[in-house]
Amino acid sequence: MIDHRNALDLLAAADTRRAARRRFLKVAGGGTLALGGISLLSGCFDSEDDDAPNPTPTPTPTPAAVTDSDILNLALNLEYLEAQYYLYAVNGSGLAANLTASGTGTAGGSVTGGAKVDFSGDALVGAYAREIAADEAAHVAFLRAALGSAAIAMPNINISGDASGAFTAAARAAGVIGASDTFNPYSSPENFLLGAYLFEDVGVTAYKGAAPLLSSKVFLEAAAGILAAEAYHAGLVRTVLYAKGIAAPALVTAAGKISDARDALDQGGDTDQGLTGTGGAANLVPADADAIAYSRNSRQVHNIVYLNATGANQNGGGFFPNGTNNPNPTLRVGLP
Amino acid sequence: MNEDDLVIDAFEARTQRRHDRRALFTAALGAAAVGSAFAYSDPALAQSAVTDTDVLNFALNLEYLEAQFYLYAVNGTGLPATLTGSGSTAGGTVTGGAQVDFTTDPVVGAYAREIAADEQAHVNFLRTALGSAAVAMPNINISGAADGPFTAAARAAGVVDSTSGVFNPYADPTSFLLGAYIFEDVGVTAYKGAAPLLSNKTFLEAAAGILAVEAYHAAIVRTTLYAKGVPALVEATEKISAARDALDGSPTEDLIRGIAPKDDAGIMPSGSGATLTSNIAPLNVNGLAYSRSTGQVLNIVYLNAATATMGGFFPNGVNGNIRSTT
Repeated sequence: MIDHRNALDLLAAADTRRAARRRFLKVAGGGTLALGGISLLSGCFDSEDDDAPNPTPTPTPTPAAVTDSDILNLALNLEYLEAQYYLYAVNGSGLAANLTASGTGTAGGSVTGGAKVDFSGDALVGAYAREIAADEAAHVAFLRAALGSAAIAMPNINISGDASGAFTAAARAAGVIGASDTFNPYSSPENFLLGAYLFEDVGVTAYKGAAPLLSSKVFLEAAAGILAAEAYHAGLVRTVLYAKGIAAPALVTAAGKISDARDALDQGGDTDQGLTGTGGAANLVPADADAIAYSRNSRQVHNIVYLNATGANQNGGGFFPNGTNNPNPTLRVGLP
Repeated sequence: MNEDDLVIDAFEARTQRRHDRRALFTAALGAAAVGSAFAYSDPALAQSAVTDTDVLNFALNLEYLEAQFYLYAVNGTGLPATLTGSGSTAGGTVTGGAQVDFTTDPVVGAYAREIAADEQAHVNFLRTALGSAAVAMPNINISGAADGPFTAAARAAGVVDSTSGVFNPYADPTSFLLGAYIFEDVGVTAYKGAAPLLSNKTFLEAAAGILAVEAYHAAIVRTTLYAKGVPALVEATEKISAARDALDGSPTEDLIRGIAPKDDAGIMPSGSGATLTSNIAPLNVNGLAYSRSTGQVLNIVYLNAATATMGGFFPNGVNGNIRSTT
């Protein structure tokens, strides 16, 4: 049995999951952080790891084979986005700077937008938001620790709820709002849920597409663990929206439009499903005829998060205005 | 991210690249782990070289169980004989099972119908993937009677009185949800523990897809139970989780692979008021779902913490090569 418990833990892991969630919610905005079982061999970097900038512009790299590190960095970009959205919704602030810098100290990008949601009228949705926020912060910390010096810096992120923000652009494109209306996911618990709906199923399909590409069996198992977590989150959000939708059918309609928009963006056929199926039956589990969840590849995922409907945003846009970060350029582009 | 930052990153990336894989492994696993083979968490499996067929058949047994429970709950009948036999071998018998009256909770009825359809689809998919190698359904007990496995599980968990209590998951929608609760998180941890054992990438991707669906199911059940706002229901889930924890032993913790002595959690929230935090997703400190070995899964479904090859929901054991708790 490989002993992953490390003698170099900087901090003890929390005793219980619930205690850990409380800590993540507090420390994600700054301070020290519990890392679960991962060695940070910070003394093992060699001289080539120092980050003196190369003044000569790098020529376009020829496409390199995708490594496990590249795949984990792809996942890290998406976790940065989710974590920022949920942390802002819960706390009014996001990840601390030490959790967005690259593994060699390059500062992370900026976050545009984000605001605390008033959950006082919906205690349960507030509880769900806090749970998910803690989980996404844990995913960021886990991937960063696993990647060590190879961890990519957080790119610029747009989670704004104003008229020029990514959520409004997404909602207009989906037809959830009119062409000159604004969608602010922070203005109500219901809007927050729709914002969450936009991300969670994408996370599931992204991990399902990427996990089998990993060479390391250990990281495959870890990626499967994040896949499951994202599916728990998506199931939670879909269940809550469906239940609320009984009295407020507009929520179900909106979710269906978001699903249709994602389907259009990923150019991959009908792989996204709203909350109701044939005859209005509950469809809380988006899956194919074998009841197997769908996969998306990196380009498809990027097409969604870049809101790249026309090809103009193939290299960045939407939630990642300047694109995602990845040493491998094939893992930061959408579709033409 | 400006051009200079991109250049710096690219430069760093190039110098890093040939160290990437080693750095990734050493950073995450410790120097000794580089080049080490993947270690089965269940030593019995390591000795017998588990095949993809074995793993998929193990999963098929669990899907037979889930499908029968949900189909009976929804329809009052189970899988057709065409989905339980293998070649000339007929499928086993189902003891118990009954239609649930969902008229007082039609939303739960809707969930039950969706989950039932998914589980039948999983049975069908695995049987198709395995072809003639698919095992027939073993004898299954899903009875809600006093001598059935649900009562045995509930008594052991302290959900009902330990000597005279009866737990019938078909009695009403809430009991049905608790019955579903017994299965769904186990399904997640089973697929997660088994996925790395698969060699064929296509099967691996399919297993990941079923893993995701079982997690969606578990989330539906857990969220619905929690949202009812009934403390006794929350308590019941804590007891069931504690019982599963006791059954499946205490493996050495591995926070990356998701292995832990305490690998289960009920839906009791933490905090209150402005810090109230739900626990819909049972995850470790890294935000990862747990893995159970096949042996641990069998401890739970056989309702036996010790060495066993049958019991509980599978009175004559599961079929196939992976059938023992140790």
